[in-house]
Amino acid sequence: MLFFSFFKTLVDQEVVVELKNDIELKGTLKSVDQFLNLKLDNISCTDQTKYPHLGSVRNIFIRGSTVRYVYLNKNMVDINLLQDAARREAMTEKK
Amino acid sequence: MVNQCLMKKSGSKGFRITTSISCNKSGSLYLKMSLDAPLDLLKLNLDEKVYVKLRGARELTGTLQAFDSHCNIVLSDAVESIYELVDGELKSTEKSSEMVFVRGDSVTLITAASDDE
Amino acid sequence: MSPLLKDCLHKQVLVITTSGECILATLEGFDKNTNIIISDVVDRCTLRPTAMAQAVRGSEIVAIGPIDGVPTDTVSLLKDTKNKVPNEHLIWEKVYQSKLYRH
Repeated sequence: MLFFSFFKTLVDQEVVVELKNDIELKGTLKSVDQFLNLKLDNISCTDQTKYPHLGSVRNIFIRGSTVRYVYLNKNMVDINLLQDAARREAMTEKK
Repeated sequence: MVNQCLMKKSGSKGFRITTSISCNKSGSLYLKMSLDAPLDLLKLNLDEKVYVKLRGARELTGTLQAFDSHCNIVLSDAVESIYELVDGELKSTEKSSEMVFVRGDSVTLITAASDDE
Repeated sequence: MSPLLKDCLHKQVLVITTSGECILATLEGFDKNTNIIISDVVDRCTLRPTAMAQAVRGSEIVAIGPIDGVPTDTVSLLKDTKNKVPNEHLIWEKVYQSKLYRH
């Protein structure tokens, strides 16, 4: 649940999602669910000429399992909070 | 007694290294972290440089900020290298990012980074 | 039920699959595993109609996005998501060799 909560704190921020088929999408994170499926608004392909497929698509649902990376900015993340949450998560998972 | 063990636990699950609090002559307390699952080793690497190997001839080095049981991780100041063979010659492409979330299903190995990286 | 797809219901959507196909269709239903039912299915790459209705397994789906307007241009197939690198072990062998030489 750590990363579900983590992504919830990133809602309304602009992120870049790299998919496993090498497409990179930039957009505003609108929602996330427990499978880490993502919904992005106002998407733009970082490499528009290579992928005209998403031309008239503005909002997109991305299945979590096909995400490779999500690029974030440092100022979106409270590093101390995140590390603490990771330690706590490691403790609770033992039960 | 020089080392007095105040608490010692050992559990049913394999791999446990023990959790113990001990104190020495001068009264300093030592707390050992429990490392009873492979992923617990990662706890020691939090806020440290790690090397991550990924599917598809990719690797990442960066500071580990978070991880979970699926090996989903967050790295800061990450450098990604993508390797490919072009006419038998190794070619690498590097890409850096200040903060990146990596989905666990691409991760094949996580270890402490060696100094030169 | 994952509510993320609710906004797309009964709308024209573009579906990208793990094999690299692009599908234009109307989203008729979905479940929490992202299995979907679509109707009036058109292949986005060739713009040829392929089926009246179709079910797509969730594990095959990469992304779903509502699309406005009817695209008229044909496009090429996308990459798949498998990222199969031929002889990946040989690449790693070379990578680690070159790292050793650096010392």
